Amino acid sequence: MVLITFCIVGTVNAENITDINKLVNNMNAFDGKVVTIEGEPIGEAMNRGTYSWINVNDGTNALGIWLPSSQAERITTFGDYKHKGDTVRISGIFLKNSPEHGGDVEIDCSSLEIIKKGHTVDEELTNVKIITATLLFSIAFMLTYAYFHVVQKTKNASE
Amino acid sequence: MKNINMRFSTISIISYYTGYIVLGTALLMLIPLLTSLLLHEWNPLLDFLISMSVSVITGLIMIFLGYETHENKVRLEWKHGFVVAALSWIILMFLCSLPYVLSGHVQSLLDACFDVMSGFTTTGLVLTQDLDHLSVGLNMWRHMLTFIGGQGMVVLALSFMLKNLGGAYKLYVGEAKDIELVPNVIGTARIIWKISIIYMIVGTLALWLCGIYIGLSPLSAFFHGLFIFESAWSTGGFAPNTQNIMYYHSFPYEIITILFMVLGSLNFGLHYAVWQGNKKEIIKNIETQSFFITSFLACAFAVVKLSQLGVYNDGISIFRRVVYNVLSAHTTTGFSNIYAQQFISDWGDFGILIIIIAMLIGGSACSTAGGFKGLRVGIVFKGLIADIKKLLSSERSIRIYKYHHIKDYILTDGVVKASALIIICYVILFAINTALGTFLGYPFAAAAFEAASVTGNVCLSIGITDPSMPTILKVQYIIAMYLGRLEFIAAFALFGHIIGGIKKLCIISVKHSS
Repeated sequence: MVLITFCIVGTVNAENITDINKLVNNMNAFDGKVVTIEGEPIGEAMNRGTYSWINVNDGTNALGIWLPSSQAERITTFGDYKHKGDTVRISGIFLKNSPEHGGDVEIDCSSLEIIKKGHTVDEELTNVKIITATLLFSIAFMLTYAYFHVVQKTKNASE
Repeated sequence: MKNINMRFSTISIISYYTGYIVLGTALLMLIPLLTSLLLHEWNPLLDFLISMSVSVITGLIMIFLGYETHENKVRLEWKHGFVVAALSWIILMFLCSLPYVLSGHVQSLLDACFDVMSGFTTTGLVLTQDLDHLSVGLNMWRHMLTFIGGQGMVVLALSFMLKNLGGAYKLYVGEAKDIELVPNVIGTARIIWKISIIYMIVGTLALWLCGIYIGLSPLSAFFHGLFIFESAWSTGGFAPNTQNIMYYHSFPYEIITILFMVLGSLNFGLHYAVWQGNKKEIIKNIETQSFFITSFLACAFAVVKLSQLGVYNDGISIFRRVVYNVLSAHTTTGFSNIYAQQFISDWGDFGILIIIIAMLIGGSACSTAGGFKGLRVGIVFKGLIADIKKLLSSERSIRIYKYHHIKDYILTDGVVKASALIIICYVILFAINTALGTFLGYPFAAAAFEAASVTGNVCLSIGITDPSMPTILKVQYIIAMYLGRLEFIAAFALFGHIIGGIKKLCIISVKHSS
């Protein structure tokens, strides 16, 4: 089965790629079929021994992928606030109700291809934001000072 | 002239106390700000600095405007308490949405307000986009909002800020919390926070260790643990990733969340009674009886129907996908480990109906949960049984019916009527939301599902809640979440106050012109 899957995967091109949302919206049609998705692995790999979980987001939705840990280790960058993750192409059997994983919706991965390496996202701070923050913080600071001054004055007057 | 002075005095009182609550919430922004600083997330750091400054300025201006309240030592009246609670939520909705807007992860201010109100009301529905690339700082803020919303912003202010407050109970009740754990309301507010903080330490630790066990890195497992605990305990339903609980692919992680969402949906009075050694309260309390009966029935019906449909083949799958989601709906948490589309494709009309009923019933009164609450369901049910018994018994016999909720109470017609009225308000709100959904072209079952989720402050979505949904539906859902959480009374007091004020101003201006 795995050999057949790899043969099929070997011929995959961009036209055979299925959106995750399409899989989710048509689970019954795709259940048990070999599918290919392309997207960004997000968060991190969760190692469960010889196999691992990764979650892939293709911009339409996100889906869990069950794959050998050796394959998961090939992914260099996972997407998060500071990183744009690798772009991976994953092929495998789509399951709408995995008996092995308590009814999980997943792809049992048979092949993983790194299409594009991920990278660190550089944060750009605009001058407008820096000036606005400084200005507003100064006003808030002065008002806080005035507040404590008034409170102290009221306290002294009542004494 | 006296009338105008009274109105001015009322506005001062409301402004003064609302200002304190705004100021308290503004200071809370220090937590995500420091998180961003520690993790070197510079843009979120500036976002929180801007938002906190705007909130501090707003809060202090409101305190200054009403400072005569402090000088004249004016005491709060019931109407003030309700209006302050209701108004604080609206002002904070705008102020707390600033970090969302500045992050660029929302399409509009309305979407940001939607998410903040969803957090405050512990609903958990999300319009924020690209959750998987959200900064830890903003995630901290999202989950803090739902945690604080669960306990109550007014409760927080009472606990730590408003030490010498006269009439504090009126503020406290205004936020739909009416239990007195100790004679002093500020003491009660502090106990509520103590209970929550202790559970937070235990829950975060449990989820952190479980997170490491399932393969998350220690730092990541800590933040996931903290965020998921905050959501579970406050029955909120937010999660740091798009897939919600599905992200973890872990049965033990789901079991821990079940434990904390059930605990979070129980009355703070019950927690306190158990902590005081009164363990029998769990069995005797009308609310826990009601919750366990309705949740057992809902789970049983859903399991039987979905087994008949052959959706899930084994016991573990049924427990993880059916029981989990029914309990999540019933506790009004809204965590989900299936896709929204699966409710439509797999659960069928009966499954959807079960979830709708569970979402509408909700958790316990004076807890973090939404819905019309197990206490009211129990009281109305007992009232019905009592009426039937009265009909069947001799006209000469007089029987007194009681119910147990921390202590024994007599089941009067007034209590039954008050509970039934709130349930009717919820049902009307649910009907309006469903009608609007169907009017806008959504299928009836989907519109009813989403309406129940919004009305009961749940979070489960069948796919309607989306940044592309019609603006009118977003606004209606914000109002519904707000009304559902404050249990109508405080919001009605605010509307009444505004309408009354406008009416009086009109009368005065007519008199002047004539």
